Amino acid sequence: MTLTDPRTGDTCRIIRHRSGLELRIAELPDFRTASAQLVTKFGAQHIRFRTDAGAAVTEMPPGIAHYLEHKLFENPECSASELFAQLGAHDNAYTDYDRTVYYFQTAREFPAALRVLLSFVTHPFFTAENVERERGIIMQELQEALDDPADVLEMQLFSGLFHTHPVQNHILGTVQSIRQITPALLDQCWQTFYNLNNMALCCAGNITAEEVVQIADTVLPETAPPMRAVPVLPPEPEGVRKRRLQCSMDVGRTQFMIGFKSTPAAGTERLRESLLCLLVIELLAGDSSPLYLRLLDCGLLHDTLAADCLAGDGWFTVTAEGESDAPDAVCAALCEEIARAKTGGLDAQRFADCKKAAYGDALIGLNSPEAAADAMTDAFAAGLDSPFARTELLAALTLSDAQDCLMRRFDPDCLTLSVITPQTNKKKGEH
Amino acid sequence: MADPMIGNGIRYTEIIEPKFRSCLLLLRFYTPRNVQTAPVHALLTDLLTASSADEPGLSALSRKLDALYAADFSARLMLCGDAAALSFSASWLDDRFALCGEDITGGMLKLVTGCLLRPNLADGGFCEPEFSVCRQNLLDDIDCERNDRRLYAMQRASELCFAGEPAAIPPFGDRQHAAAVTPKQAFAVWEQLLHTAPIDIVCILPEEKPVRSALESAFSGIPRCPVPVPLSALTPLRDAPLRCTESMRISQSKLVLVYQFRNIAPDVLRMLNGILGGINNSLLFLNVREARSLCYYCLSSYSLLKGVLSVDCGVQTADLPAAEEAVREQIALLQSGDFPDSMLREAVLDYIGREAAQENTNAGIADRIADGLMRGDTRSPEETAAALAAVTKAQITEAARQLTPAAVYILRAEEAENA
Repeated sequence: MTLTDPRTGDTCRIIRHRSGLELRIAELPDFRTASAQLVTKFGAQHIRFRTDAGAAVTEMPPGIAHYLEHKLFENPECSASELFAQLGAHDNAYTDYDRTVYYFQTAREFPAALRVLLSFVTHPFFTAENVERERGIIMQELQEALDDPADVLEMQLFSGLFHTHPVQNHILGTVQSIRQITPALLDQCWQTFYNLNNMALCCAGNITAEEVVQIADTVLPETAPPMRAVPVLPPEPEGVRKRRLQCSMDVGRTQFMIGFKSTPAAGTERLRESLLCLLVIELLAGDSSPLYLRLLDCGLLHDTLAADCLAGDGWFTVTAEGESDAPDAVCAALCEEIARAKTGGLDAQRFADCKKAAYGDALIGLNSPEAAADAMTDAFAAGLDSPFARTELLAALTLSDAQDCLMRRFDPDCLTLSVITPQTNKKKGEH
Repeated sequence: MADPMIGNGIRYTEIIEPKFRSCLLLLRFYTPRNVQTAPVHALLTDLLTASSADEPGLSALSRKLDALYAADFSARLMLCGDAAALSFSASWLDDRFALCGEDITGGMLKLVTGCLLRPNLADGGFCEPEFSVCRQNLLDDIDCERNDRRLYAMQRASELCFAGEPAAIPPFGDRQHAAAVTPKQAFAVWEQLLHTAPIDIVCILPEEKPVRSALESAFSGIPRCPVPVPLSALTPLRDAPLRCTESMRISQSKLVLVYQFRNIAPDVLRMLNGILGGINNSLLFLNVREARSLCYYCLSSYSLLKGVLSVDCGVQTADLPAAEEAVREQIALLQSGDFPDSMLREAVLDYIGREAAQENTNAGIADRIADGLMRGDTRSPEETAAALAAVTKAQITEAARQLTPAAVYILRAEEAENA
């Protein structure tokens, strides 16, 4: 199947490889590099699953998807990173709530680098010794995350928004859960979720679809067993678990993050709702909104109010974060603005401008091999075919859609306020 | 070839690159800095991108940018040795994608020149409320410098190592001087910059557009008497390394080791840094992180302008001595030449890969060109790669022997760690 963006002429070919792996390829011959991303639909939130429909629920320690991501780079002879470095490719990986992605970018030797990528992810090498050695590195990564105010703010918000959903766990897990991870558990997760029928390879840049298929033919098995595993999510009650959470850290100013929880959505509907939510929050509290100017004018808000829409299987939230000495007053002002917009309506001219801005962002955002590979990976993880769906959906959105979204997804009774206040902490120097 | 100068001390470079759907305009104003002007420079990057006489107030400019299809006009302060550059960047969707045939390029050129050359003024200074809001933002930025623990440790190491030199001044300046900046003083500094700063402008366009003529015309009304800004200012050599430990209520300690050098050729230094801690499989990565699990990150970086190379990592407090020793061991490996020859090839390939990736965005190309102009190095990436490939192991070893310890900075986690 070939998908084409009518605005730009960009194309994306989707090929089901005989091994079960889905290949998504964007040929961009004008660029000097190529990117490849190998993604599995196994992320931090998949800590409960059935290996097939009739099996008992298996539970894993939080953080295991991320630990697995680290460990797959290990080969019996050397690390995959060393092989990439010898080829001049830049490699890395990341774990999100709903996926794990292994990727590289290179200006040369794309076929050889792709062979390395496909090979190391499909050939795990876990030993008691190498798993134990990695634990120290991951503990250091966790400590770094726990010192990061932005990370803590979001983690605290999620723990307030959700009662049972595993998204409330940190992607890296906890000190305790990381200690529970063993080679056997890593292998069980790999066997269950690194099934090629649960994965996709997204390539973009100065490459051709034919060469990607040819390399997949030489590296991947003829077939993979059907994907039988099913993630299990505990029932998530409506409403938030806590309306307000606060902690103290060594930060310069009080920081806050507001999250509105609403009904989860899937596939195209999730993307459409996310786009609408971003437009609505921009209209309500963006840099050119009357509310933002009022908050700045009376000194309630410092700098900007950054908004986002975060969603996945079983969860959906719109967030706004910033710095303020009076976060509760900012939260109350936002709720008042929501109430006013629900009765008085959203501004039509500003809706048109914000929609134009979102359209411009979407077009510019796909203009590189890395961005195109990211878009294809996002689409696969979200259960969509087209990486161009964003611009298509945006074009069709109306003011009435935005007003409807405001009514459904911005419920002041369904919000959590997460706050970090500064600790009193004088520097102690000993020159 | 067109004359690169479009005004006295105003250098203009334009590249046509049809693969892009957007246009990019980069303007860098170079200036010396001191404790009084440092916070003003930081303030100007915010203030001049917040409003103009054409788009006064705090929201008009944002609305205009939204209406121009998410066009962006922003700025940052770059530290270059003892000097700084106010770097303004404008990007916008190419006109061919406008839904209703709008002249996006014309709109953006008017907006950018308006912000820089026709700021919103009253009584000889910047207008309110923009000034007060931006100054408050600056004070917040100063208060929040400690929020990014890694950058904060690097900054404190610079303050230790460059004490008494402009490079020791934090990027946003200090709070006392920032709080004292007035609307008139800020505008006076900007006027001075407009008249005297060497200016580099780089424009990346998908097709020919009259950007050069528009800028030439806009700047022609500004009386110019540019004053050269010396960028290279080597810090004096230390007899013995300085050492400072500070504490913070965090989980993970930070360690920064600074080394000095005098005469290392830029290409040799780039290779040395890559092998030590710049490439994916550097000595620090392989031997400090992977083999000994001491840290999640351990990287090196350098400043040719100040003559220093730094290594920084995040470690458990109990492991600080081991990490410091492990870093020194890697320097010793470089000095003895005890590293695989293959690392030289990997460092060259790493450079080629990074440069190629930089060419994938118009901002990357503009930065490469502007950085090259600043350094006086206008070689193409291919020429630089060839020069790096010619660097020998003996040259790297000899250069490494020049590295002398200048400072050790430790940001010590105050609370007991959980791990």
